[in-house]
Amino acid sequence: MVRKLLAIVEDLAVILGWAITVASIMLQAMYKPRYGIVVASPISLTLLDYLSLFGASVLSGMILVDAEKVMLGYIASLFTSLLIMFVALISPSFLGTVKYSSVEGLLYGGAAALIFQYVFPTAIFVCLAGGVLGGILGEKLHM
Amino acid sequence: MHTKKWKALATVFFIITALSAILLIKETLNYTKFYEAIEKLTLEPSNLNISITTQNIIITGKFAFRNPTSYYGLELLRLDFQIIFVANDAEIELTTDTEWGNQQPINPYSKITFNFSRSISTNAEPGSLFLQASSQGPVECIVKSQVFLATFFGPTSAMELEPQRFTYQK
Repeated sequence: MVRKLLAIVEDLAVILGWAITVASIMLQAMYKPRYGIVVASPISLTLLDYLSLFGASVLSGMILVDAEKVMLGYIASLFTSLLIMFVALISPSFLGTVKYSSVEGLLYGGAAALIFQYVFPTAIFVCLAGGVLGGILGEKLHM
Repeated sequence: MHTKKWKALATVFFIITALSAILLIKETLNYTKFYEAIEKLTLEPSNLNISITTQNIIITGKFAFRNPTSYYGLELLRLDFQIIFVANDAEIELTTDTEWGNQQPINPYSKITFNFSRSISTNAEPGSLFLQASSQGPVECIVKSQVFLATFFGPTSAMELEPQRFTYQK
């Protein structure tokens, strides 16, 4: 019983870690200055960002090992990372660093648009591919 | 029970997670200062000198574009400014200029300085009006500026900076 509970906690910790790492990589890319308005483009992230996302996903997959856990973990970590990114991007609103209510309104829409632009579709597939590859590697290496 | 390989990998993974969390918090705290930073950016004229010859009004000096906050993540694309003088309660444009920023980062608590030198003919209307105003006493001058920046959401449209005032006296 205790072992089962511990295994669940371990899996949840890995999923949370996966989400934090993905959100951190994406947010750091988002915070950089940009010179053009690019809509929904895979070039929003650099090759290094994609490699980091892939690497983090491979590691997570190798730790989760089991195919079912990897798939569920991927979906859970994706939604958690989206939530972390959204909360981080709207944080000026609840930290009170935005003085004007009109800007606050834009902040929510802007955060959603920015996340969509960076995450969809390439980053989603990179994370999935990394997670699946990690799961396969984990099984092959008898993790 | 987990293998040694699994434990080693999990340790590496959680170290990466901890580092990612630290970076995420650090960068997000910086991001929250963005709105304060764009409100506090200033263009400050320094050592502005106006000399009048028989043919020209020569303006020389330095401008400092300053970020007085701890926010990093802004880059200067373009800075437009006008030097205006007040005569008979009317604002008259003496000269304008554009400074190209070449995507120069505006670091926290730092400034980008550039030299300015312009010669205005006293035969042209603004020059002759300035000459006339200066002969009647001190002339109030205003530097109005607008800046274009590269930010995390892309390039900004023109953002007005706080006008700076100085007085010219013969």
